[in-house]
Amino acid sequence: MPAPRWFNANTAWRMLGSSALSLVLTLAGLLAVTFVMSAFSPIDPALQQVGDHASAATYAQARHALGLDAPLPLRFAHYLIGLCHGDLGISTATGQAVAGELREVFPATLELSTIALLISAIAGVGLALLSARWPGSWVDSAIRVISLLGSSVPIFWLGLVALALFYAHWHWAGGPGRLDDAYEYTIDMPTGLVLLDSWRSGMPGAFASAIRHMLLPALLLASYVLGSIARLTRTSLLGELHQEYVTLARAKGAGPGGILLRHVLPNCLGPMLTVIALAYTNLLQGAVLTETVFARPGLGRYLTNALFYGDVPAILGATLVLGIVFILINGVTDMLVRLLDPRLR
Amino acid sequence: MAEHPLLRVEQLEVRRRHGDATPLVGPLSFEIGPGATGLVGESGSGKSLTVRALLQLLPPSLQSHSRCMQFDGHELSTLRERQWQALRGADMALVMQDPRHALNPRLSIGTQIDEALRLHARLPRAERRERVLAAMHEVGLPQPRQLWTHYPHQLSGGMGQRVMLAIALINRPRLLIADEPTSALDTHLRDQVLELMMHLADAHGMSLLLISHDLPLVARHCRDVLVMYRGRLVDRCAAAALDTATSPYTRALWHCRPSGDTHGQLLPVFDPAQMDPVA
Ligand SMILES: Nc1ncnc2c1ncn2[C@@H]1O[C@H](COP(=O)(O)OP(=O)(O)OP(=O)(O)O)[C@@H](O)[C@H]1O
Ligand SMILES: [Mg+2]
Repeated sequence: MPAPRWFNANTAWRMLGSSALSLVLTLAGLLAVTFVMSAFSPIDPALQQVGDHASAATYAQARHALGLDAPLPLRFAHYLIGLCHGDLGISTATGQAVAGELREVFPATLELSTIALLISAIAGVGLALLSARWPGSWVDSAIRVISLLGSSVPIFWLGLVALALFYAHWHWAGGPGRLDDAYEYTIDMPTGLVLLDSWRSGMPGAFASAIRHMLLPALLLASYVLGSIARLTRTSLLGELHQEYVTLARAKGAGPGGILLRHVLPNCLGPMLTVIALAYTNLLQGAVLTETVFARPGLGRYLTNALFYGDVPAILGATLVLGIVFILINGVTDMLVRLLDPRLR
Repeated sequence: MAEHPLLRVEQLEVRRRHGDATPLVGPLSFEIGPGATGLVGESGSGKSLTVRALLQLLPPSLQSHSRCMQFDGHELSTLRERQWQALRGADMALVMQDPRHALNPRLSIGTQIDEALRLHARLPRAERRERVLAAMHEVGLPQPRQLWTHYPHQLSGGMGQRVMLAIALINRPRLLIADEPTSALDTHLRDQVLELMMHLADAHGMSLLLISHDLPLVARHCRDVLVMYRGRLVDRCAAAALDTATSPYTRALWHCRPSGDTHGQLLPVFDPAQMDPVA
């Protein structure tokens, strides 16, 4: 089909351009904040390196080697140039490059939270549709209970209970870690995504083991945002049902299910995407806790260790990566919302 | 009137489901025969609620009840929701007031007209497409093929109302109900769209129930007129006899039309005490 007459490539580009501009500005803000945090952190990396008993000369030498004696603007420039080369500094705890360590742990976190997002978005929107179709039925109560649990019970507590019941007691799910021990040290992890890597390893049982271990943390993490996705989507669906176009659809002879799916749902895409994007950022934060409870390698455990050791470059590197992901999620959502709405295209 | 009216309603009432039990509309009884019937009355007199009750399209907070509601000899008050869905849009169709709100902003024009057909006819896609294009052509939409992928916000009010008309007419209903179909349009478009609607209803032998504030317009286009006041039917007469109406309310409505002749004079005021409702 030829491009419709109204489709104006200029407007589309201008729109994407303005989204991209705000994205870049937010990113610049994030960089400035992480830099300031590192520059004024109470932990002195030079002191950390040379120790409390070093002489003043050794200390000054270390400061110079780390570039800490340069004026702030110059240090910021160095910081940016380093970032462009993918340099996030050296971890003071492990002596390894932070960027390399993050590349190993971050995919795991992204994998866990994305799977949790898929579960919670599908289940949440499904529940919302059911409850908008039959308002006042059991679905409403289910949504209320789930959102109450998800928002008020601490995730680590729920995690421990789930492990005690489903792993220790019933043996339905895998225990802590991302794989059974038999596979943990035998499988190659080139991508860091455990489902993908265990699938590609070709080892029978490895993939199943990965799934069994993914089950509890993913469900738990999903329950954390499921309630809010369901509740907000439901509100938005019910609000649309008063619109005139719903009356016209009924007058055409459409049934309530068809109206909900074909007419109301498309009109709720904007709010739904926004809610889901917000849930995604919440899930990434929640993943940090979940990983700690379930002893899964990932950004969460990395960050916990870094905080414990006062490893400033590692903390800031992880913060920066999370920040960039948040900004990207919001930016992409913003563009999607606009692209999906014919009135804004 | 024909021996067998298309729609016959007895003692129709619309009430709130909870609270106040006094009916918002009714009880009213009327018949709709072939040709165009006008339904007039001041704002808030219950015209829209009446037609929504006829189509079982009341909001959930309201309910309707009638002793008898017959469409083409079939009793409607015992129908289940599924049967209503089969009836709505196929045998009785509705044209709403404002296309800017009544058309779905997220769906293309073609999809929205096509849906009306898809809901009632099992046809191959290509044939449906032909019928939709023909319907768009019939209501005078220019370049239907290009328009197919347009969205409601890209249409003028007049075009939007033509789209609504195409939706209503595509299944060739027996009864077309139009609730103030032109009051959201400019005056010069009003007559155009109305003429088109009258012409198409006539050409396909449909009965038309036209709701309007505009008495002269109803007098010009309709055969019979029903007059509502505060939820009750207060008069029914031949449209041609409106200027000699005997009911005090109809007379007041008729003489309340501001025009060049009455410029600068006080319009007559209606005294409700003169009222004795019929039906
Ligand atoms: N959902 C509702 N709940 C309660 N009362 C309602 C509801 N909808 C309409 N009404 C009341 O019923 C009366 C009739 O309303 P209706 O919309 O039928 O008037 P109308 O004759 O169509 O007026 P207009 O010419 O302004 O469209 C009004 O007094 C209105 O306040
Ligand atoms: Mg009305």
